[in-house]
Amino acid sequence: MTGPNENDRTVLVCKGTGCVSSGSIAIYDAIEAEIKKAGLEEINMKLTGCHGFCQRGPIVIIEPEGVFYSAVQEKDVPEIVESHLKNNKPVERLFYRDPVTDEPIKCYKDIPFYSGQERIVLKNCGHINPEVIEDSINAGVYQAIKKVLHGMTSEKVIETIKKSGLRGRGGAGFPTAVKWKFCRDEKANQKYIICNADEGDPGAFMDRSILEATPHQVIEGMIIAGFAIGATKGFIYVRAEYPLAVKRLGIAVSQARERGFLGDNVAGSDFSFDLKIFQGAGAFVCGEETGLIASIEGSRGMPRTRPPFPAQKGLWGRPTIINNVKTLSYIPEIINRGADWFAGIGTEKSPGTAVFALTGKVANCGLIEVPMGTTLRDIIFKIGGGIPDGKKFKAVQTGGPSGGCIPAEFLDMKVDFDELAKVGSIMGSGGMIVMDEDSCMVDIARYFLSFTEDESCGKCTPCRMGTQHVLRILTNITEGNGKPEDIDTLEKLCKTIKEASLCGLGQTAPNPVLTTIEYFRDEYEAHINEGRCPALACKAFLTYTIDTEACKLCGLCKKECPTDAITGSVKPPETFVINEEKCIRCGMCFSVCPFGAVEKSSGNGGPQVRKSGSENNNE
Amino acid sequence: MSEITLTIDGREVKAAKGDTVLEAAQKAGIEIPTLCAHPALEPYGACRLCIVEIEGIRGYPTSCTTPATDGMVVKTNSPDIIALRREVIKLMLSGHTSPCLVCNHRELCEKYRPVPFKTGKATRCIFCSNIDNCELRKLADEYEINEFEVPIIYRNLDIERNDPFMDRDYNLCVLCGRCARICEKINEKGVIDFINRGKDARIGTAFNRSHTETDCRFCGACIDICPTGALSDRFAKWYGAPDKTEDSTCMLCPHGCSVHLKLKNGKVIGSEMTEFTREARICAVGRFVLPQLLDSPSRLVSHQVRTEDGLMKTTYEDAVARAVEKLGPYSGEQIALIADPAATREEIYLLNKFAKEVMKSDNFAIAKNDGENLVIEPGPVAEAIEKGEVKALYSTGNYLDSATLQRLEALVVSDVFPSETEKAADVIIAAAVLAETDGTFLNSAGDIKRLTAAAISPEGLFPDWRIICDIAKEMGVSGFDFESTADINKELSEKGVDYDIPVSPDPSPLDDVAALPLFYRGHRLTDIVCALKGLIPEETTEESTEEEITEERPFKIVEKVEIVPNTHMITVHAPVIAEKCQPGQFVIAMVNEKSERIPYTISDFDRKEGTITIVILEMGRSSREMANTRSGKYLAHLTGPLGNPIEVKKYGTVVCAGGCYGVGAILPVARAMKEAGNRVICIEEASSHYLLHWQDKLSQNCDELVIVTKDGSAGMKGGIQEVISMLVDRGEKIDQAYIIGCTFMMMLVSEVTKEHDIPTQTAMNSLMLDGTGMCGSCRVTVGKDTRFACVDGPFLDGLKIDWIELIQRQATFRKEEIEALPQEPLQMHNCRS
Repeated sequence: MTGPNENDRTVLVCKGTGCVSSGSIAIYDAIEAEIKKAGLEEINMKLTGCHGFCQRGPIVIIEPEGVFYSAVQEKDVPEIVESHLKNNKPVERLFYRDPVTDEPIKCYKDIPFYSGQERIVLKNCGHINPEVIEDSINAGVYQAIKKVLHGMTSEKVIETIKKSGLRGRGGAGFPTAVKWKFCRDEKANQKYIICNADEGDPGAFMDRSILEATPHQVIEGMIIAGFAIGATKGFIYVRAEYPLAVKRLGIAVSQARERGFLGDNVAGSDFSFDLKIFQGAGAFVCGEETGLIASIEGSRGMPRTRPPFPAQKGLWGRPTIINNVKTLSYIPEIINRGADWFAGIGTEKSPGTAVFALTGKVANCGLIEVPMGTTLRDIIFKIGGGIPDGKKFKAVQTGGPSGGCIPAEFLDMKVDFDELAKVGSIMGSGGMIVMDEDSCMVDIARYFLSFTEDESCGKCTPCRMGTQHVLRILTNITEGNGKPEDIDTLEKLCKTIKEASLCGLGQTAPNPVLTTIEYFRDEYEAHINEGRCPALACKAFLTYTIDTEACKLCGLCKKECPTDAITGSVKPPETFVINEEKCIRCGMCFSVCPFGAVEKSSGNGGPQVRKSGSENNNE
Repeated sequence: MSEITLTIDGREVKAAKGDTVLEAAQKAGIEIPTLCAHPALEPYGACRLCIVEIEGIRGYPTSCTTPATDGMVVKTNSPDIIALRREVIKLMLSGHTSPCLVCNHRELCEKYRPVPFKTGKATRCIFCSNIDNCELRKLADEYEINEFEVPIIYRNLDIERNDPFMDRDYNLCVLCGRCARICEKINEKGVIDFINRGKDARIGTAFNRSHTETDCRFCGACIDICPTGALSDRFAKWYGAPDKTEDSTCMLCPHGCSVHLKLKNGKVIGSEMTEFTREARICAVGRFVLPQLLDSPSRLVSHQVRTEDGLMKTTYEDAVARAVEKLGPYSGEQIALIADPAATREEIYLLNKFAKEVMKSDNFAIAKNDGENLVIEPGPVAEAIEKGEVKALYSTGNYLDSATLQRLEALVVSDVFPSETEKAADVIIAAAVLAETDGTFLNSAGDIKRLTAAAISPEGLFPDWRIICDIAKEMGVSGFDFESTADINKELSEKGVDYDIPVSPDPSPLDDVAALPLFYRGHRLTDIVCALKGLIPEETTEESTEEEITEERPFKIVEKVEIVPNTHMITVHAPVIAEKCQPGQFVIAMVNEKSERIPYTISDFDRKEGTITIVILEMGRSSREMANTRSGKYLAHLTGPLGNPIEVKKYGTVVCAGGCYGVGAILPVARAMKEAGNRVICIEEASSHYLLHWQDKLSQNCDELVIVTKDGSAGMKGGIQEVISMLVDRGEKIDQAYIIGCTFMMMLVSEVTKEHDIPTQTAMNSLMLDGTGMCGSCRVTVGKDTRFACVDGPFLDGLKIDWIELIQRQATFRKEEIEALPQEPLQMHNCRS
């Protein structure tokens, strides 16, 4: 039995996309070199995938203590090796600090961001080396297929998943077992199981993290799904914008083949199964089932009408099941731990956990996995650490461009598929964007429509034409050209787009607009009728003025102004004045003034007036 | 027998298993609107018009894609569905050039302007060739769309005119996908498909190539299936809807494909596939060349005989008599007859019978197309002719070279087009051919196909079978007393005449434009229908016969800009005109030496620079020439200033109103009025916001600019007349009005100004020839007097003009205007863009 002194430690350096872009590759190499230099060769090094806490990266974990270092830099490496690895004294200055209390927290299990979560599909993220199959096997992957292939029938598998109540995590929340059964019941010579890894929602990165951190669990899920529906071939459709995920999947697939988990006689059974990785080509709409199928078939990624449904007639006309990365990740766990275990988590109609990409105006940004039924309040304020900079919560947007904005009155909602639908939003693939008083809800709606209008495939009239008109009107409103009838026109257009569009992209594109009109109509009216942006966000409605009493004539604002819109001088002293016509509302003066003398307001003498000052805004 | 029963709108409907809900409804006579659905195509579900409510299915599924099931309950026209459909139609129309559909003056417009203007891009219905057939117009009318809450999005794509035979104006496309889907169905590898995404999605070829650079067979299926005017047949587009249709057979190659003929006033305006299937596909020649052959300006329309003074026109009877005279003395080896393979069995039979029984000769030959060349078969007959053993010839085409022709002592030709043979002939009998005749044709599949005499031949022309019968009868020979082709057929059948099945062309023109038939009756098809040159790769395009003017000379185009679709601003260096011209005057321009003379109002002038500016609308042959001339080129001729300047003085409050091309022309009037101290109110009228232009120029020269659009997408909704009423209502006392635009607009505006006693000057657009008062073409009835727009105008008293007469006069040359439009692809024109 070795103790900490005998250095059976493992250093895990995160090499997920986020941390890599912050320099974790250099950190990994530096630690490796430093360890060698220090003669501590017994220490293991592992690269891991994404922890889901990219905001805090680069992340380094030391096992078995479970010490969590965040925001590590290359120059910190000698100290880590010397102080912690050699002398058993962890480096406190690199500990995670609670964003609200500033308390340093040593171990990841104590960090509220992690301790508040129930990580099932994210369990292995950051703790195993995705490029070494043994790590996954040691973590329990590929146990379930043995159970399934050597002791269960496909009917039993479907029954188990049915009992668990698992609903698809791709966005629609359709009961997985029901979909599998439709496919199972079709008679065909060839069926297909497809993993939809075309995660397209802006700001969503849970599928990416899973694929980069623990790809084998997805492969295992696919094997079991294939067995259940009778498919011997599978595809992982992964977006090409995830090159690291593509690479790690490739490595995982070939290692799985070597070990006999893919190919003929999977794990020594009678079941043969193999899969191919297929890269997308940059279209959000190819995350839609039938668009994805068209893409694999080599056609233009345009969705097709249903019926017939893919479960009956999918890829190349054959019965096909498409499941999300997260959905497939749950499958082995349900087999291993039982349907009752899963059904016991979460809510009655939405069992299990949900993975959210918590982003926006929240102290802790990252991936969180919580039981369904957790309240928004707990997610945002407990795990998320609340709204930074003393700002007030305004809304949370869930479900990406297909979802809606939920105001404060619903903070105590128990988040699950149906509760979100009740307020006009959707679960979607788990995006959760928190907004504060500085977020303009009209601009948020405009932002999402600019995405969906661009990503519309163009096939059907309501989506193609409707999104153009909606975006144009929203843009006009945010630019000061709104007309009184605009809100009614928007509602009418949104209704048509929602009801008449061919696929989910069009049917859900109006949600951000409809929910913001429903819950934040006053903001629309302020823009249109009163010429002001209550959030002080839309440039067309902003006025910057200098409070001459507070102004200390330092001249910094004039120096920083990019359009020479500020007149005045230090010597001889002349009042500093902003020329409204030249001002482009960039906010530079507002952010550089050390005395809080620049006032940002909106509307003619409107109540929305702010002074900067001690706030240290990131304008 | 799998029959199912479902309920649609409360009615029990029987359908077959596998039918869609739409098919079931159609079987029961229940109408559901569709656009992307088509009986020949697989369901697509894109337009969203055929949406219905089905119990148990959420939302509004499309009936064209949803399989009907037993016991299904469907509603097709609940108030919710109707309302949703209306909104979908409105969205669709917002991506199309639809302002005419919601225009207040639509009824009057359709009454006084029954045919569309022949513009380049169709920026609205009245400019669109498909106005009679458009499925969008029908939908808009059925659902009573009379206003738009959202503005039309006009993509301003260039009209694609670089291919032979087709014009593609994708600004009109509503992305129903029918063209791409039919192309794939018929050609197996489609040439066109959707390109780009979302709002930029459109139909295109791979890498945006022109169709001649792709595998396009020019079968025309895409044009025939397009519900809007986006894809059009360049030759037929302005003829409008046919008044008669008839199925017949094309004989131009051994395939003998069935064709669906469209006729107007006895003339073939279209020759299309009879069904949208791969088996019924036709080639470019059958689709596009066949109609133009019969209509060719070079066609022989009179019979001729050779006299001492050369070839002289004569009557049919005389030509027949002379033919008998010339051929009579010869027989046996000395005489021959050459027929064409593109002939009916009845004609071949009769010609053969004539050769044998009347000429007593074995020298009956058929001139076959052997790819590039004509080969006379059988060989021995060809040799006999070559060697000069044959002295007399009856030929149905141009098969021999001039040397051989010169050796003949007697040559009688029955043909359709002029040629070398004709020049050497003693008698020329012009024939009625192809769609003007009937009979049967044996094709390479071994089928005996029918021809119908659907088209009316030029007067005095008869088909070959009739000609040979009349010659025989004139000779006093019996056995040629046939009254109809049916009679000939009877004899044919009774005699058990058997013809060899012609060889199927390989490669087939159906699959490859490089294999298109090149000849008809010995004439190169590319000589008769020059647009075909765009498809035949070996043919090199002849250089423009018009000389490019390169040396320094006046009338250089210094600037040319398309300001809004179809409207071009052209600034020309013309110092003398620039020095002398006054507001209200016009010039007459000729682009090339052989161009028509066209009057254009001078829109602006710079006396210092020595330039004048005109603003033109492309709406016919000559304005198209002008529109396609590049900056840096020279106009052949420019004459002016012509006409009377406006009387510039202080009137008080002056309204200067311009619509369409009138916007450019009203500028100098507004400027002059303003400089003279008047209070000027300018009115700019456009169909829709995307056609507004020069607002800044007008604003600088007036006190108030009022914008009015027909669809309400900018400014007021309506026309100039509504603005004038509004001004009067708000208390304006208008002392003088100047109105420039189309005749129809000026007529309607004058009715309103008359009501309010506003003196009105309107700028005439009469047909004009000399422009100096000599010819009288531009005459206009003003009150009781006759005035000439060129010397009394161009502005005349709008309150006294007989507008109806003017509109009727302007329509005088409608037919000729269409026939004058160039058919070649744009780069082959003498005028290039």
